[in-house]
Amino acid sequence: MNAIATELKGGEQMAERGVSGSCLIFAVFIGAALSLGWSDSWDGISSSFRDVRSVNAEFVQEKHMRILSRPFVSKGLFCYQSPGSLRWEYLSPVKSILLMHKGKAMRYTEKDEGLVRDSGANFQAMQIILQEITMWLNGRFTENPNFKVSLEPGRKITLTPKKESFSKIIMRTEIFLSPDPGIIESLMIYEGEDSFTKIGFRSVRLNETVNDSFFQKIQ
Amino acid sequence: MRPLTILSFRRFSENVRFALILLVLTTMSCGRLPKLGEPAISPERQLYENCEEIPYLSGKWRFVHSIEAVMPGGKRGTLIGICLISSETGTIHSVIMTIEGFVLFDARYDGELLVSRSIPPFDTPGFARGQMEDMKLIFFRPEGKPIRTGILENGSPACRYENSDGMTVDVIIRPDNSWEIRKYGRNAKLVRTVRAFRGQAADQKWVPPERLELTAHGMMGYSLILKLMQAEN
Repeated sequence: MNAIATELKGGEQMAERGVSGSCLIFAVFIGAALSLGWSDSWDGISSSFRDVRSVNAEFVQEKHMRILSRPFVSKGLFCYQSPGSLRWEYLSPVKSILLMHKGKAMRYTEKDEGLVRDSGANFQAMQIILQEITMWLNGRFTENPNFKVSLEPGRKITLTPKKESFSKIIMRTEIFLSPDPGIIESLMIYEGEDSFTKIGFRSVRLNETVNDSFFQKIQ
Repeated sequence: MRPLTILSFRRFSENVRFALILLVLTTMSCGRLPKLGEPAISPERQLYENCEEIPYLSGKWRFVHSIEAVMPGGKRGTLIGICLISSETGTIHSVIMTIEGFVLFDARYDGELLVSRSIPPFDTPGFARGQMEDMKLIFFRPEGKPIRTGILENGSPACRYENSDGMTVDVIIRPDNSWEIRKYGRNAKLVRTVRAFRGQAADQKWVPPERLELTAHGMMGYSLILKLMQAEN
């Protein structure tokens, strides 16, 4: 009797497991269908990014190079407002604030006397990359004629420079989109196969109101 | 207005000649190595004690520095410098990148210079060579042999090296364990100064300086402040 009861109980448990398993698979399919919805076509991507007015996030940047025994890690805060305002603030290991507003960019870096504005020519090279990043944040991945762009499975966009002169500087860039619409999850910028930068975004908040002065002054 | 006659032209050329001689004499008098006072003990022993016992970088080191640069014309910027240095092989691998991780310069020196990446403004022909010379000056024992030792006017013991190119390098140790390197050209003009600040060393081993200041003197002068972020041996 006890054996029968146990068998019946086991059967019920199996049936319960079967139902919950089906629910889980169904949920995964629904989730996958929803998440694929926005990032499986250029139209879906463009329309999702069109709804994004601002992005606030924390970021972790890892520089990988053969000369380093471990990745060089930097952390900070990121703020973007459409169409082209950017505040890229490094909190560690070197405190630095990069501001861009209406096409004008500047960088401040902490020195012995406090935050001092950089005026070096090395910053000019960075401005070109910044312009590119703001285009991506607008969802305009395909507009730059200098890059070959491909949308790949796994919410991945790959940009490869068309000109050899440019590919010597950046070999390719991979952009990983979040399951949530209008959000970039991470960037991989390859300068060579053994030299790349990974920037991961977290605690992303969309469409919060940001005052213009936040992109103009270090405050 | 008086017309320019042959006589006034002669006077003028004599004045120019006089001015040139004065300029040459002034330049010669400016280029003078600082006097090293006589040591209290025998010069040979002092030479040994001052020069041979100075600790220099030993073995293979990896450093990550933040670099605050003031370039000719006063342009300022902060960069990240990564270098792999071996005193045994005399090799240097140097990478300079922006804070955002964008590599601007990548070069190796192992007797020969190999530049694998150089992006403006680090793509000028002299930059890579000059950068390696600066790193050798900071981290390696000076080339050539010690030729003299003594006490500078400020009381700091110094050791003087001369290399085959006729360049002179003074290594100066201060009582607080900070050190200074001064490099003079063939005309005895100061061309580079390196100042290093470090914690107290428990023994005679080389300790990576927490802060290094390099000044390149002259018309195209620049200065660099290197702050140590990581050191691995």
